[in-house]
Amino acid sequence: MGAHSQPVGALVGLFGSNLPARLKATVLAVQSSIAVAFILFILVTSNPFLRIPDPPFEGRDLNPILQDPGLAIHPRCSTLGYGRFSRSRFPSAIAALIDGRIDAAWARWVRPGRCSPGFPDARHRDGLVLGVLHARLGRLVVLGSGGERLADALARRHGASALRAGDGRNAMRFKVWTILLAILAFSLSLIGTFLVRSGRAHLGARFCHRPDARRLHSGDSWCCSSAAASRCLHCARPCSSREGLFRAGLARRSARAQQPVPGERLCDRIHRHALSRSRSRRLTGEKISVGAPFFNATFAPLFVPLLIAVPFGPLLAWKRGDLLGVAQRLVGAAASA
Amino acid sequence: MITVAVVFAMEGGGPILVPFAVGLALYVIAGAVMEIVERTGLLKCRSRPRLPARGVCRARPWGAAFAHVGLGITLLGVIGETQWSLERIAELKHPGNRSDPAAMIFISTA
Repeated sequence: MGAHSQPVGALVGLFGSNLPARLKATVLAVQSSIAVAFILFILVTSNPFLRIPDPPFEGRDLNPILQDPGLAIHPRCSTLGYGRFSRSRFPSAIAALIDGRIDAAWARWVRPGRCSPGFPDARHRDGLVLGVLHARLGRLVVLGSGGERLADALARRHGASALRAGDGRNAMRFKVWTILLAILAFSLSLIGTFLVRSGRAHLGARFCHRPDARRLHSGDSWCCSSAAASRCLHCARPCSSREGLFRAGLARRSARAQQPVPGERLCDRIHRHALSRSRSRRLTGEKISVGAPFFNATFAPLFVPLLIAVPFGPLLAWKRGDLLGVAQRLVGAAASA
Repeated sequence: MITVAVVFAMEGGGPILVPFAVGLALYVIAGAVMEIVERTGLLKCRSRPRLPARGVCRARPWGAAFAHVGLGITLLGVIGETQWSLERIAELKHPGNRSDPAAMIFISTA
């Protein structure tokens, strides 16, 4: 992930000629700090330069699950998305907050296709979605089908991150909202990654036991602190309260900006429960799970309203929607269902 | 309709919420189909045939409609797999753990 994000970061320097010099410098500084954090994490938790005192005779062989093509390819796709996201949208958002200038130049920069210059058709969001599909399809291939696993594919960290990232099409109109989504997507996808990789959170089945899970706690701490810092920065800026997202009225463009909210709430709850899992085991010895029945009780109340609202979206007008009129048009669809 | 769905589920012995979930999936699919029908003016009576409007031929509305239909079909699959699946995951890790797939009984003894 760290290695993949380096070329993307270089592309910002090469193609970011339309960015104001100060904003460009801040974006590059934020990118570099992320790169330093990644390299430090690799060196501290699993240093590739350390010599193994007692090496295995013929190596440890490949993890059998990684021999499956579906699971073998998914880390590349996931890191493709994460790498691009961490080097493009997130630094742009943080740089805008640091500079305090969220203007038209910034909005043009975060439009789709601009954050990943040189890759106009393969945006960070597509990378994330590809990661979701490969990871979850690989899991289905290896573990067999199952409703919970499929729902897991839709709801868990990858899917929710991809949804939460927003698409930046209305970056100027909903600029603070776009920044908030970028921060949440980056923070929670990193936290989710470390939670799952450390073996402390799993829904379908545990793939592997990590003997070095304790060392990964430092990764959790880094993710939580970076998430908290960026959220605090977002709240500290006075422009946060001037966003007219909910005052803009119901229309397709505001609905598109609000659509990640249910996924974000679901992801938050699962993350919080997963974090309390290890805490309760340590304090009371009780084992709680993020699988059923917790998953079912969390999934349905959040996604049923979302599914009811889904057909409303395309029928709303772009700038000023008529909710009652759309509801009347959908009565036929509801009755036929 | 609600009464019919509940009675149907209770008489059939299935879970009560399943008919509502299936209806929700069908509603999502019907909503997407309705948007395309409205855009193309498929059900409008015209004296002479007319080419579709400019916005209809764009890929974006069709893509959104296909995505929403796919969401509905996924939901149907999730419901079917969750409620009527024959697959079971059993744990025979500890002594005394038991699983009885088909006509066989497996009991973990050690």
